[in-house]
Amino acid sequence: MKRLWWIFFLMIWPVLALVVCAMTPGLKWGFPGDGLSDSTIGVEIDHLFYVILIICTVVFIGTQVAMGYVLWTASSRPADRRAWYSHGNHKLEMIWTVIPGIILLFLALYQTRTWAEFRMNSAYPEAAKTNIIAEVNARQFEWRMRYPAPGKTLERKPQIDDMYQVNELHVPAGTPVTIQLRTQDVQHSFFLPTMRIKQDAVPGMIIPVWFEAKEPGEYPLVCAELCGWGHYKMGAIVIAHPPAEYEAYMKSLHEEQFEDGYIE
Amino acid sequence: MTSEVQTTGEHGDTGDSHCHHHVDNRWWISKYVFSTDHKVIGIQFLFSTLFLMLVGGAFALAIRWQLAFPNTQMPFVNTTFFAETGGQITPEFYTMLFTMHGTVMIFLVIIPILAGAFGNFLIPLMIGAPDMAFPKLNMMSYWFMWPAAFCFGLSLFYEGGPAAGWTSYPILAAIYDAAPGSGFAQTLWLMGITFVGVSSMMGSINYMTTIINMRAPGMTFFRMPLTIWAMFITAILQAFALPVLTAAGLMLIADREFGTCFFVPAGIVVNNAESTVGGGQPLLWQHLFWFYSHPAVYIMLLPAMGMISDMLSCMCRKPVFGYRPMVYSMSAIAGLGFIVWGHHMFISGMNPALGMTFMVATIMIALPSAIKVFNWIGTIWGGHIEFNTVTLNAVAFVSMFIVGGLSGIFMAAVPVDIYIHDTYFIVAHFHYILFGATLFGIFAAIQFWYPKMFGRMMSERLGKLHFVLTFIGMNGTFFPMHMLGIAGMPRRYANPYLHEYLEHLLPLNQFMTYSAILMGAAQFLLLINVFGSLIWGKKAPKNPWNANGLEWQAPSPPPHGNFETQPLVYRGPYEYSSPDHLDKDYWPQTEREVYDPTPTSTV
Amino acid sequence: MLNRFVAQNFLSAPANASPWLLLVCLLAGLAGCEQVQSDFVFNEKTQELLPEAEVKVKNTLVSSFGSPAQPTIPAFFPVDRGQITLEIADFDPEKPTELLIEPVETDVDLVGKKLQFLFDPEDQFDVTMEAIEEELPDPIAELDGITIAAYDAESGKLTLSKALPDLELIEPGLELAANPNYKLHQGQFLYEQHCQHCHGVSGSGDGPTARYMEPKPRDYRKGIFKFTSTGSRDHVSTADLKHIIVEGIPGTYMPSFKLLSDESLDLIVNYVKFLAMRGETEGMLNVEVGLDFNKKVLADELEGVTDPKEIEEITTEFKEDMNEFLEVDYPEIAFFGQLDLADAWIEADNEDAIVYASVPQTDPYGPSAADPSLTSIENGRILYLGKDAQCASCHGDGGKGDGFQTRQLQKRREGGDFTVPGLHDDWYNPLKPRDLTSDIYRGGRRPIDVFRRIYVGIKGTPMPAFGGKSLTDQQIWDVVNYVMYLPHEDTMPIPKLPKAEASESPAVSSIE
Repeated sequence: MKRLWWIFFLMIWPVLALVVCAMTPGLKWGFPGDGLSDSTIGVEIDHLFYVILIICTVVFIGTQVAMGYVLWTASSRPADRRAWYSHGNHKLEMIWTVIPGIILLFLALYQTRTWAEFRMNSAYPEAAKTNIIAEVNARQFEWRMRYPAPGKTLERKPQIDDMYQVNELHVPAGTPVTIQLRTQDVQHSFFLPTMRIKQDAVPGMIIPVWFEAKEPGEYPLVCAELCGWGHYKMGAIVIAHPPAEYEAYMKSLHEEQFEDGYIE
Repeated sequence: MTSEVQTTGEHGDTGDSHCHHHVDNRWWISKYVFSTDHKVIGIQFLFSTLFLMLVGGAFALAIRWQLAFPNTQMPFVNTTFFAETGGQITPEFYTMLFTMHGTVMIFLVIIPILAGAFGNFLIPLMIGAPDMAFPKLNMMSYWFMWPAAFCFGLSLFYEGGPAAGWTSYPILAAIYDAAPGSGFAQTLWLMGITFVGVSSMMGSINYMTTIINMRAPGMTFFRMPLTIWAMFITAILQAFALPVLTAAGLMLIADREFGTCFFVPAGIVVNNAESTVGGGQPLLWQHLFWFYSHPAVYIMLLPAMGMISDMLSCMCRKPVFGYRPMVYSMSAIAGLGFIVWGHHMFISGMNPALGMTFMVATIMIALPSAIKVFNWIGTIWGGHIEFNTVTLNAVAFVSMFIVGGLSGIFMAAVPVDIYIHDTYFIVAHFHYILFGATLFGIFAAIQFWYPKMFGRMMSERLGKLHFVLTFIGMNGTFFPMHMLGIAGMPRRYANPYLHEYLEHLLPLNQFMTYSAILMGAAQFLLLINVFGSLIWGKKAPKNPWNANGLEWQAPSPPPHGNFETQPLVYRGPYEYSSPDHLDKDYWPQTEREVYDPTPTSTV
Repeated sequence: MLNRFVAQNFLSAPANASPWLLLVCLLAGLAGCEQVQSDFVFNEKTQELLPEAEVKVKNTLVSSFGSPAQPTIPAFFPVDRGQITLEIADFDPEKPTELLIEPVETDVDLVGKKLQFLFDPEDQFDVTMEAIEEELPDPIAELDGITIAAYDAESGKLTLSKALPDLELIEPGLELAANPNYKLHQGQFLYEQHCQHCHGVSGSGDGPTARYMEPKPRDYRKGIFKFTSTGSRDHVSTADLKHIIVEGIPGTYMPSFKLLSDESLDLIVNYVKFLAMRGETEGMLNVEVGLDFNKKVLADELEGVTDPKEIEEITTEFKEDMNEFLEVDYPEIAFFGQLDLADAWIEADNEDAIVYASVPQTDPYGPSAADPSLTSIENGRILYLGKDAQCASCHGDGGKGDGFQTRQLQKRREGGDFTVPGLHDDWYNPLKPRDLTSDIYRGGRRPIDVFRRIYVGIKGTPMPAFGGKSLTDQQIWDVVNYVMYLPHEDTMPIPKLPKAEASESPAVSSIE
């Protein structure tokens, strides 16, 4: 019995871990919603995630099997046979330094394009540079949006005809849009889980964030940086409209916003 | 193993042998309380941190309770704290809970148990020194931990406790009346951090000096056990990184108390307080904080890595596979550890080009970690292993470290980190490292060096039971956190189920809480084992594991001054099953060669 | 659940017994933890009543409004209780445990549900009073706790859990409410999740989180809500409450709960109204009873009296008066007081109660309707600084919320000065007038919202109602235009009419 512990490390725990991982999508514990990203950049992020996942799974299986195997052989070594006296192997050391090194370097370089696309101004899609639709203002504990009046562009300073909304961000679907992210008080983080978008809102900074909703629909927006006791309450929604409806919606919002409540 | 040891153990010397040659007539206060003896200080650290681990664990269970049964009555504390809401936990209490869980576990448990308890106890013994280089400084390092614990503890009773997370990012932590938990409690918390820093600083200076200057004759750098190497590298990391945190902490205190605005930009209005004067940058805090706190992750891991190498080698009766690569990779981890702090800030809004640089550095830091894993597997390979508690915990360390290391790659890759940053994935990752790896390493180390500390063996049966329950509970608690992270559940949510896309995760969270309760309860076995064995444990011989290290040549427990005679070192610490030495399968570092006048090179 | 888990995982494993025992004790402690019940807290005025009166008031409140675990409310209050309404088709007094009802269509199983009889409130009151006069047990009270034991859907026969008292009011056509406080229960659950930690169990605005907030969360118990669309003397309307919950209050810690479902929002509004009604009823009873019979009144009467005999005489007489009041007048006051409160709430939801502008908004840059020689913004500015509205006295000349009143000691309503200079609200919390340049409008930023703030004032605060009194609707629009222009003053000059012949009034030149 004492010797059979290797089974625990080779058979039971890693296998269980793999089984749980394999079951994850079926149990809806994986990516939110249907598991597919709702934004274009999210698709790339998912792809990179799966690349890493595959590499990691292979490494996980490899190392666990190797460890289970050496545990098995080491525990079943006859009592009269001495352990293998070895201080290491230079060639092996070289192999397991260089190969993982190459793989890791590849991984690092493979990531850079998506990162540049997401954050580097020069690599933004063209439309994202011009299509600045709203200022998202985080505050304890809600999201306040400021839109320019229909037909106008967003100014850094609030304008008299700007439109405001709380916990609702309306965007056109199918085109990259940029929001200006800022905070009125403490640090917050603009997190769109189904779109795989996240960016901290830092006091004193205005940070542009672009994303493209693939389809019209409603997507959750939450806060991902501790902002006080009500951190968990900062739920909002991003509503992506078909482009034509978006224009109409903005017009109706403008009307509602400047309603004088006069009934003839 | 132990019964075998009793018969084959060297000379059968037991712990009381020191009575013959040392009459120790110090007053009991200076012997056991304000002692300058590194062993007493180490044991003081050990007991204190074990106690504080219970405190931190209680915080963790409270967190888990809220996540499994949100806004229901919390056991034990409901009448004390929440009478006015009918026992319902409040969100600001929850923020305090996770802040204090992190603080206590990191600053008062893991760092002091590794550097304080084991560093103190093992360094002089393993290098053959009678004590630390600066015994009084060493004593102060322990006694500076208590003001820190006092500050943290007191802060709990100040208007909601500190509630800005253990990272305490400004503005939340910088504006005095901004939010619950940003009151005086936050200042107290920062003072606590400063005290911890001073304590660690005194320790690390001491360790470096001791290791450099006080090695026994013959103990060259490359004959040092990997534990000592790890402690040495850790001490260097600490000595160079800590001043930055201390400075940042003092700046934040100044921001809070004197309105200096190092980290506060202009025009911020929180809680309808006066608008801030400004001129500062919140990102500055993040850079300074992580400049310490990322190396701190390695401070919390490297000593365990070193100890695991020693224990695995002894338990497999086999030299460590690739001693020098192990040393180099630890140094590489330490070196790279200084230039990867930015990976905590990928989405913080810092220059995106920095993100790329930090990503490459971070991904490359996986390399030395991988080398270490391969070498540990190599160490077991062809060994002669026996599955006792030490082995089990040590192997669990390697296994959990693999998981923690691999999940780290996801976060090192910036684009993927955009999504999983600040979700439960990161919580899973660092718990696999800090609990899965470090704590299993600590459990192994306690079991392994306990005979040397107290002259008695710990119970194998209880030890194994503790291992199995902890292993199951730990994986049951932390493995599903990966799933929560991928499902997009952000950290630090008092009630995530308010959000529709997270509602279905409640059953999974409940399962995790049950596992956590199991894991928490299992720690009482460890306590029973540690304290019960003081009384009921079998008397331990000098060298119960037939190990090579210098510490095993001292009596168990070693007397004041450690060694009967000045030990001389003839070889490296890992000469197990040497073909040059056939009468036993180990070859202590101090044992003089009898039939071969030239000592074999050991590496 | 937990106990079973403990049994499965711990008890079966063979090992050294002592640690297991410890573990099991620990986990049993976890599982069998003490349950704390939250309860409504009575306000401090109630505690000041003499003991007999205090008990009476508390009993009234408990019987009318129950507890958080069992919220109830008299049927005449306009709260959606989510009841299933049944109608008696036939009742045979010979068979007091049976009722025939008109057929109903409901998915809800009626069996086991509580049953309430919806008598005409005044008839019901008469029956109770009659019983009290004749010193008989109150038949209405006997109806408490009746549940439906069985229901036959085909014949419409209800079998009751206990016999009905002999009561003429129970007759065909009378309506019954099954499961009468269903929605209050649901509302209470949601309120506990989302609101309670700030607004408190009783809606008194003193939940544990409240102490960290500025401004303080609303205390519902006065029934005063700041931002309403109803007239200055009216209660808040249901729509107003919902609007606040959906939109939040910018510039405060009241967040927007927009993502909750419409149904949940209604339930929460409902429960908030319930708490407000409970608080108001308590306040009303305090005033009615406390005017004559609180501890202070007795103490005043006894002041200067030293003879113990005299003290006893006065006390006895006082108590006799009180007992007579409590027996004869109190039930009536309590009942009709609540009925009046309910009427006020019903009226607030009336379409007539809502304030609309009688004229459309003036173009801010066009001529003012109130004074066509000036632009609307310009005229608004004159009004803002002028004597009639006196906006600047609190909000300051530049709109920064720093008018001279903020530096003066203000009077308390019941006499005496506040100790701290500056404005205070009705809850005696210090209050800063809005900084109008901050571009934050707590009650909403639509022109009609700002119009209503000026027209009806902000209830519970020193912001008065100007509508129909000191300002005409046209003038209010000018002020609205000026106020909304204020945040942009530094980037735009004050618009003036282009026409050269627009004569400058002396007021304007003196200001400029």
